[in-house]
Amino acid sequence: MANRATCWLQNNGDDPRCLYFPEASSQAMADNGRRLREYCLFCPRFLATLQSDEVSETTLRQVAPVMLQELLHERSQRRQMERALESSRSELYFLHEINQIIQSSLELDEVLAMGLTAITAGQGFGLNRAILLLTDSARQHLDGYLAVGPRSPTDAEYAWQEVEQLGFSLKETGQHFLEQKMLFEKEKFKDLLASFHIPLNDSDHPFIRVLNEQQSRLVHPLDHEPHMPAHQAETLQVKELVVIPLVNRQRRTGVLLADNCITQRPITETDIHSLENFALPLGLAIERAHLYERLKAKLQSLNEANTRLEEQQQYLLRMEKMALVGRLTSHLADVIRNPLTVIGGQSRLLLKHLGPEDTNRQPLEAIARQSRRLEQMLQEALAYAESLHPTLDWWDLNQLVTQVCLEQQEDLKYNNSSYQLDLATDLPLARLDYQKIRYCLASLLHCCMQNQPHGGTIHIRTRRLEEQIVMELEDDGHPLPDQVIQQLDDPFAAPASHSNYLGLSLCYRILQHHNTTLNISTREQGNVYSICFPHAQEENYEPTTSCG
Amino acid sequence: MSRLLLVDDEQDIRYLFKAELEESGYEVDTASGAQEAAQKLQEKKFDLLILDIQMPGESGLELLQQVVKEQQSLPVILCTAYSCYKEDFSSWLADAYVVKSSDLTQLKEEVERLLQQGQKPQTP
Repeated sequence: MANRATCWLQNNGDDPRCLYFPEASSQAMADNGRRLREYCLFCPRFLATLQSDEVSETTLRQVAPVMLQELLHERSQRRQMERALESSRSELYFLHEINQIIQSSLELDEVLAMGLTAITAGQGFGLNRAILLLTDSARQHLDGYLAVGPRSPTDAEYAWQEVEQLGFSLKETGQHFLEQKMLFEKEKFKDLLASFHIPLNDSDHPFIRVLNEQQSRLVHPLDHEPHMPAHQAETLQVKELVVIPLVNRQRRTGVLLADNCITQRPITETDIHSLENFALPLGLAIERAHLYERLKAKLQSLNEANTRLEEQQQYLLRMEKMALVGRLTSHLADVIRNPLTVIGGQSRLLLKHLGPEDTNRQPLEAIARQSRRLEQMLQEALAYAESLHPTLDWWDLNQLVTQVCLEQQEDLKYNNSSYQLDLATDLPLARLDYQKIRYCLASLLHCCMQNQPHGGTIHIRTRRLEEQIVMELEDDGHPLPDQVIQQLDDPFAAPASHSNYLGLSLCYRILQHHNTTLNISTREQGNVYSICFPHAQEENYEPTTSCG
Repeated sequence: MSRLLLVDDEQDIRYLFKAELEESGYEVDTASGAQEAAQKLQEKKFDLLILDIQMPGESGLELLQQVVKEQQSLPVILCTAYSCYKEDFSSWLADAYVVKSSDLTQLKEEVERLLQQGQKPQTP
């Protein structure tokens, strides 16, 4: 054990243990300089010994250089730490600023403009180029979406000069990019972006691997990267690039690529770390912007549906009024036409029995002529009133089905039957004659009820096909006799025992006239009735008065 | 000689149509309502039925459905003052529609056409 008074000066090669720092390693204790710097300077005995008479000038000369060296070392370390602290503070400030900018926006393009500008701007990460690949809406592919940066040294020189002249802040640079450059940049990188259409299940592709492993990666050299398609590596025209995953709660949003394609400055660990820090809020902002876009689209479609519904309700009301007017007109016409028919008809009848010279002939001819004229006027007025009432129009079939089911509820209840609706939610409008289809649907419901005299459930479905809308009714009653199905187009052909199916036959004829067909398929227990309607595509929604 | 049954609640119409149709060589019986017509249809055999739609009591369309069920081979002409029959799709069961007019040419043409077609073949 060393002399306790001056232990920090002695060469304790044989016994390096220290009474005051028993945990110190023998290696540290064996090196005088290190022992002094790491332990003795902190030892209470060291200061006490220095202040005592035990220390000679020689001893101090030995100790002073070590202490000075330690002081300089400490100062250098402190400066490094201050620089690192300043850098972290700047980064934090920048991240805070960019976060505030991107989190305050709900528009995808605005978020991306700000985000990618932050990567390439001098006030930001200062990388030369940033490329964003996003997963498509079907979550099947990773597609090139936006790129920011120069494509050539000349382009870079021009862009950087412009940035210097404008002297914008980061936010202003992003705004400037969004408003004036975004479309141009999309066009500029069109070929590059188009070359990235990577299936998400291609787990060998380096970008997909980064996304799946949620771990950023510096790819270097890019042209020798295994599983990297040559055409993609060639398009990027860079030796190395960093790939940062954008993931939000295990949901793969996309990847961010960044490189120094112009300056060729190597990408550092600090660059990668900073980009990783930035990727998290950027991914969140992109996902939120996506959600906002979907929400907006949904809202718009709901608004449109609501407007259509309101229009149709108004139209239904008008139809009800028209029906009332029609009934009144019908009654009026009946009242007027019958006397006219009698007056004109009798005069004609009398004329037949008069000789050509009879003096009554002229007045009778006048009566016949004028009554005929009145009849024609009446006919024209009625035809005009009828033409105002459109027959074919675009209707929400689901609404029609629901309406008819409500109308038939009493009969269904009487028949111990119920209905179950399975209506497609994505149904476009169908072109149909509301009154005719309402009648047909009611007839089919009655047919279903006839087939299940002891009651049961009638399933009513609507679904969308590529060019048609299908409405199906299904009962679980007796299968319809083959003869009824085969002779649907001729109600008189069916035997009297099948006279209950007159409604079905009428329905068939009405649908034929409507350019629509009724298909019936029977099962061991039950029948399925299907009607197909054309649905609204690019045509306009103007009603027409002809059946076509 | 073909025998026709004319159903209309208006006496003047019945008188006019009967006179005109008889002049054209048909034997015409008349009824003022659906019930009377149904009774006559049971009692006698007719070759054709001319039916008004709007009548007090049972309407012409109700009688039409009954006729289609019971006498499928009997041709029916709906003769009405207005095309209101379009609103009720059961009118589609009739063989022809004629709007009432002082000029009976169209009615006579339809009568002749349907009688020439002859009775529809009965389904075994």
